[in-house]
Amino acid sequence: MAELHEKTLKKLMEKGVEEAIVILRSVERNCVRYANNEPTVAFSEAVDILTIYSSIMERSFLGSFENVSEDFIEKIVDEVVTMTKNSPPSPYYTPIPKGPFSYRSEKRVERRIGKLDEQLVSYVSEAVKASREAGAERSAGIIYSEYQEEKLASSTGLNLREEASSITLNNRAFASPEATGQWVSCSTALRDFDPYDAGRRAGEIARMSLNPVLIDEGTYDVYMGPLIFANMMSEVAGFASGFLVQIEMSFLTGKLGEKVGSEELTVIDDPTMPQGLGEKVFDDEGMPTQRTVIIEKGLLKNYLHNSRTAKVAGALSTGNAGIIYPHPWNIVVEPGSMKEEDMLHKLGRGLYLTNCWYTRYQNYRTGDFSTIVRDGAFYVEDGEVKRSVKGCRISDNLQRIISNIEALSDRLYPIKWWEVEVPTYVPAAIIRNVRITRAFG
Amino acid sequence: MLDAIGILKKVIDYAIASGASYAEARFHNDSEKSVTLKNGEVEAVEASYERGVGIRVIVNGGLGFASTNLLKPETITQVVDKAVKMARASSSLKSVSIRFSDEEPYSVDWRVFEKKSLEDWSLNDKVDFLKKLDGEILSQGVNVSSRYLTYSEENTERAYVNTEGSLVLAMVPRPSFFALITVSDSSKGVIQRTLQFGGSGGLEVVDSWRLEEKLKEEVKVLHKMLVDSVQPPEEIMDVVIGSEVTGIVSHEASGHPGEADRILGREGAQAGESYLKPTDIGRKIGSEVVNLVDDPTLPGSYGFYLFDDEGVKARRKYLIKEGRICEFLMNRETAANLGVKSNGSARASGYDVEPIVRMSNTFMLPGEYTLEELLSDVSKGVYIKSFMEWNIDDKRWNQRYVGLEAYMIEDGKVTVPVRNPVIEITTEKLFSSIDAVGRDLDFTAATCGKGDPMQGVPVYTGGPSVRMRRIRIGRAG
Repeated sequence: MAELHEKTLKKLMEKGVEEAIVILRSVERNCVRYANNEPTVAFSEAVDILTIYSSIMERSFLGSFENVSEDFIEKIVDEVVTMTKNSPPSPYYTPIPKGPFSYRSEKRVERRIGKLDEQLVSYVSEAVKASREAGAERSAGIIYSEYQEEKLASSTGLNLREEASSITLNNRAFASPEATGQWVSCSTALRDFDPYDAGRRAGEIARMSLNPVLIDEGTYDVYMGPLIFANMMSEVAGFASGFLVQIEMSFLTGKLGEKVGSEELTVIDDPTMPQGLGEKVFDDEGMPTQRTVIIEKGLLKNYLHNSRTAKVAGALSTGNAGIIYPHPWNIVVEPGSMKEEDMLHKLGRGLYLTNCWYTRYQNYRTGDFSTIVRDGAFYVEDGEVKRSVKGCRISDNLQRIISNIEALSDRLYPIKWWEVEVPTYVPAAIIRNVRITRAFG
Repeated sequence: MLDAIGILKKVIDYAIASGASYAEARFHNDSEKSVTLKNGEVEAVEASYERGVGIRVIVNGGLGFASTNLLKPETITQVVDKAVKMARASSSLKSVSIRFSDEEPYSVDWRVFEKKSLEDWSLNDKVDFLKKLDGEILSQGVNVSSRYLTYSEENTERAYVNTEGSLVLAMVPRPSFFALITVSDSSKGVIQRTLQFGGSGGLEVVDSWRLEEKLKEEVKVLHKMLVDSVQPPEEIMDVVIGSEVTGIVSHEASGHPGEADRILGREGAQAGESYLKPTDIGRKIGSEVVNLVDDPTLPGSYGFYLFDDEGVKARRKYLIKEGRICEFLMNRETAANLGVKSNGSARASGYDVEPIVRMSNTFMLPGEYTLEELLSDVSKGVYIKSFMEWNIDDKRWNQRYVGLEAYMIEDGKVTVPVRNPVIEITTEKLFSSIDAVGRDLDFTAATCGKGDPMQGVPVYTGGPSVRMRRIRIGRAG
């Protein structure tokens, strides 16, 4: 028996649409937020979302509908057909991919993760306990468990289905109002999920951060821990989107084939990573996803494309649709060779920074930006942490930052939280000559 | 909507029967339609429709929220069961029960009317409108290397009921416009500007933006800043900021830290906390000329509402009065914690998220000076009219604003353009350095992000031109 998305596709074609892709996403998500060591709210969500792309004579329309039921299909289809016919023809129009394609079939999904509800409260309890044991007074954070099923049918005969699940916890520990530490645990496999470890690490950073002092502005060598480095790398990979490149909202515009970073840096979008947080089999156009090297040893190798941006660029889709906006799925930075325990020694003198937030650009095209350092920042001398510091801001240029990467550690951490929305696997990094500023007054 | 009210009432009755001591339910029927022009050609015609129910309950002192767009009776019942179950589970770790402040229940239907209907503006009209704007941008004799223009129309239709007798119906249409413009010069490089306009109402709101005129002016200014600007002196000087900069200062350094949920630690893991403590009402934070409000009741504004998403009547709130902290932004939960009444600051961006403490239209109140008068008393300084980069720490104390359109002030006159002057300053220093406030008042539309899951809500930031004495100006890059 035909499912809802298949029926919708059939009706669209009957009503004269030339091409269509219909995606039905069903999401179940549970969450507990907490602050001051206690849950503040627990929530639960169950939704179906129907995404429809259609075209007639190079006129196209993209819609997202949440009133999904058999009763509404007729209404939705009529709306889509009308909107498509009324849209002007666009030179960006591209036929949807035809295939045949071959898809990876080995994806493993733990459905039980999406069903976790009350259990989340006990995970919160573990994280809070660990932070306190490590020296924090209080913790705030959030835990999500999520299960998603996605079904895609297209006028080119594709009929696909994919599942995904994940559990993520972000714990921020406070040893005093000024001394905070943050850590995450993110996984697609329950056996790898470790709320206690996230709480402990956050608590340890918070304790180390007690009694911070202001430092002078200037240029510092910096040891970036995984959270802050993931923030930088998710920015870099995000700017590889063909869409952003084409509207000059990216410092990577016009630099394909050029050196944009240090030879130490290789950045890959790898949705094929087994049990990766962003593992994905097909994109929103039904294209098989692929491992795409964005930057290889400092050279910009590829942008991330869907069919539309690929057409403008004279390139091929890299399986990163978003039908309008291509985007990375699962960012991986290749690890280096240094042991983490040797990183401070390698740094010698400078700053050890653990996290940042509020990254904003003066100019996307040049990459001039600043970001606020938070959750554990330390002055390092002779390879040792000397004191906790506060009030720092990185005020620099993204290309200069990635060009000054000197060393990467040999271990990758999966990072996904409020500030790093696309799953990002990163090592720790040493970056020379980072411009640090602070407030006046 | 009448059907929705019946369902919502059944939902809250079922929640009470399931063990909740309080329940509320909110139905949304939201839509957004947009057209995007990329470098002069239509990139996308898009629409989204969000329709669902969010349910919030208190059970044994724990707070639960659940949402669904699967609007069958059995699904909604399951969702209520889940909200109750999750609230009960979280209550096991709570030492203090969640309480809401006592508020008057209202039965009200409020809506924003379109003087000129948006429905009458066809898709073709919108495309022509954007193409005309694009043409104007290109016709200024300036090398505009890329343009990205989006026109959107959102409409939110909401029904809210709670177990204390509130019934609030609302409808707000909101048109908005966004642009990213990049101007290039072969020897000077590139300069960029993002622009956002928004309001509540119909096509008359779009007309009021005077986009053609403003975009043409922006392009010429960008070219001038790119080609003619010089580095600003790095020293302590007087600074005059324009309305756009006053607006972001008001939002970031007064609005956000005045959100009571931050003050009480509830946003600690994400957007952070605040430099303010619950006992800081009356604390001096700026000079006596600083008066700053949040006011959702401004007609036509992007952050307009008359009742919040907890059914509490909206009103103007003085965040800073004569330089002193006057009032926090509160919802019912934080108000109960602080032993006062809610001031109607609870907003939810959609049916699928809980209402949290939010700003609406946050702005510094105007004073008596003309811009010329503010400038005339500055022997050497900088006038910063607009900005691009900004950020502030998660206590809202250490902030940075990088100017885009900016000029030197010499002997009371605006002279040469200066490139990206930087204000990097603490909140107290900033508000304390203000010695004169202009009589001009303008607003900028913005989308304010907060919460996890992230909630973006429409707001105005605003204020007059403002003069600050002896603050440090730095250089970017």
